[in-house]
Amino acid sequence: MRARPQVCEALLFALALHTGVCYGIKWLALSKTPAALALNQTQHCKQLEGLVSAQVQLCRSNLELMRTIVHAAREAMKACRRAFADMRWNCSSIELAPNYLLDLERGTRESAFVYALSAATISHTIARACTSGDLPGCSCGPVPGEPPGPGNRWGGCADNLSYGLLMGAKFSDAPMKVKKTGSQANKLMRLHNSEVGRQALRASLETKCKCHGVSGSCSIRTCWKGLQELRDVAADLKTRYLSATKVVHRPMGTRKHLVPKDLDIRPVKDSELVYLQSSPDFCMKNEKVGSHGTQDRQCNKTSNGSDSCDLMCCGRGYNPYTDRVVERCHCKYHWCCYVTCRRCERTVERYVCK
Amino acid sequence: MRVAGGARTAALALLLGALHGAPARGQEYDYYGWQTEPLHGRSYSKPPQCLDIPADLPLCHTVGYKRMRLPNLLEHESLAEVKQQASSWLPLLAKRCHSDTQVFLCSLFAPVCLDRPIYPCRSLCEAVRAGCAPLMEAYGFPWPEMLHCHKFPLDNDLCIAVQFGHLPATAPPVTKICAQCEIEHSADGLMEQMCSSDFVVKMRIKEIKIDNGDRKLIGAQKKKKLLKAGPLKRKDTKKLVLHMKNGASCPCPQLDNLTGSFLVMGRKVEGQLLLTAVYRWDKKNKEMKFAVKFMFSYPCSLYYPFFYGAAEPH
Repeated sequence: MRARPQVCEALLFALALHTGVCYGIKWLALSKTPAALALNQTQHCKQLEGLVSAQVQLCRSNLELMRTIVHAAREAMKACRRAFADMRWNCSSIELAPNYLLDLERGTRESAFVYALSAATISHTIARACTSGDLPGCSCGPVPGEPPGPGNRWGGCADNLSYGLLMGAKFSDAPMKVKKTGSQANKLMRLHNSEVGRQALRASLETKCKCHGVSGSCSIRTCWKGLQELRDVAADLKTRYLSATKVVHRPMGTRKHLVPKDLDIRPVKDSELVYLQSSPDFCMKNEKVGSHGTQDRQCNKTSNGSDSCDLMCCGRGYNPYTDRVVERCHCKYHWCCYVTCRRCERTVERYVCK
Repeated sequence: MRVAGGARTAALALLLGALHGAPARGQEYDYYGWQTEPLHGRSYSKPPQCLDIPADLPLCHTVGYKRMRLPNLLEHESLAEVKQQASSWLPLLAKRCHSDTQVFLCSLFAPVCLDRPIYPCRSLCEAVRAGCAPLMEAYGFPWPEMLHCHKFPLDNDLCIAVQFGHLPATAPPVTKICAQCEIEHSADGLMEQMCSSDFVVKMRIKEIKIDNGDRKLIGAQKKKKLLKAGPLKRKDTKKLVLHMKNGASCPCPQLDNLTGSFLVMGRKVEGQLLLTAVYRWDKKNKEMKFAVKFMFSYPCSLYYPFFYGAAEPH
């Protein structure tokens, strides 16, 4: 009789550990890689935080790629915090990598966004690194097959998106390919959301042109395929986050698929983010669900958006306070060549949630 | 009551803040130089860099500062690109159509390294354009889109204003010779002119007409020799009409007397033949003979200047 409760506890613990594992975005901890770690020897790969063994192996065989991937981790965090700065959930918990709270551990809408953004960012960063010549293993993207348009010609250095997608997916999807880690539903969800991120990146490839004619005229325009800036890709994914679809894991034929929970007559679209678990409102601090709450968050009194005081503070009200801001003012350019400014102080009124 | 109290507190804080801020207004100026943090630009590719202006960027090497920002304000992303695009503008600089031409062009091609981009003021652009656009038009080149003055800020303390254009003229103004009539004396100079011209023809001139601000040279039917055909067809040479852009009111010694033959260079622009250089044909001139004979052996530069004219005599 006494032995039974212990067995039950052990089972519950193992189950929780299993379902909670989300190795897919632990590699974002690379953003904390110290600059002293030169990443020029294969032994350095073991010292990196947040990697599964397949990623460590990739590190050893593609050592020249790792500096770019470390940079990608930093960019992903920056892009996420920037995209969600005006929301209750502001992606601050991403800094806790690799030991996330439940807002990113569980199959939430928020984790869906982070999986997509991480996949897009690593591919974006690698593609750009090819263009800038930072990666010896790749160079400019291919010349497109379609004609460039009247008066234009292909030239310049295209972002190497195909290489970025290939190597990016290899690295960021590696944790989801490991057997016996996490539930099948979680894996499917994460792989799907990562693919959505890469799809958004593919959609951001556009034709860019420059005038190369004599004396700056536009008699000849050289064009190339370039990716949009990462913040634009992040903004696109945020739109998809806002319209993400809740799914369940349901048997269809001999296999199980993710299908929309409320509209189960249609399959999941390739372009939509999906999640398995609903999120809290993030109003109150609750460690159990990974909510920091909005107490002491700054809000915008004159806004009608998500950063407005009413929405950000969840109706609890807000407190005004005054802040002294020191700014540069009366700046003047002097030939040749420097700028002088004065320092001005002014008082601004700010509002924080109660 | 609470709201009123809050308002009073806020008002008092504002007042105190204002009082406290007042003495700060008299503080010394702070100087701001180049910061290592990138301000904007691509998220991964090279952030803005601060580089020495290389010696082989002659457009800007003598501009008055030594370091430039890359990418520049024309979105050139490599030094090679800057050099290639800047080389087109060297001949204009040599023309000295405005004393601030270099200041203006280099503010875009090789901008100073500061913590923010410093653009030329609109008035600087307009002054240089007023001085140089007629000369460019004489050679068939419009003022380019990338230098349209509405792109630049109205004058303020943080843009580059006219620097040398205010200086009084060192000599009383003299009517300048037509740009197309400046004479190159050396064979090399002549061949450079031939490189930048679409066609070169030895011809006689029947008459000259005035057409708005231009002069029109009507070619005689006889004694015509096409030395460099370029875009001209045989039918084009039947009735040669050459336009001297902005050439109606400036002197041109070579054309004072129309007897004899002329060596004429020009460009074909939108179906019109523009004269870029005219010389009186002189069979005793060895330099001219050499240039005509070896025109096609001369190594024209890959990106040859958009126009070429004789340099100002010192």
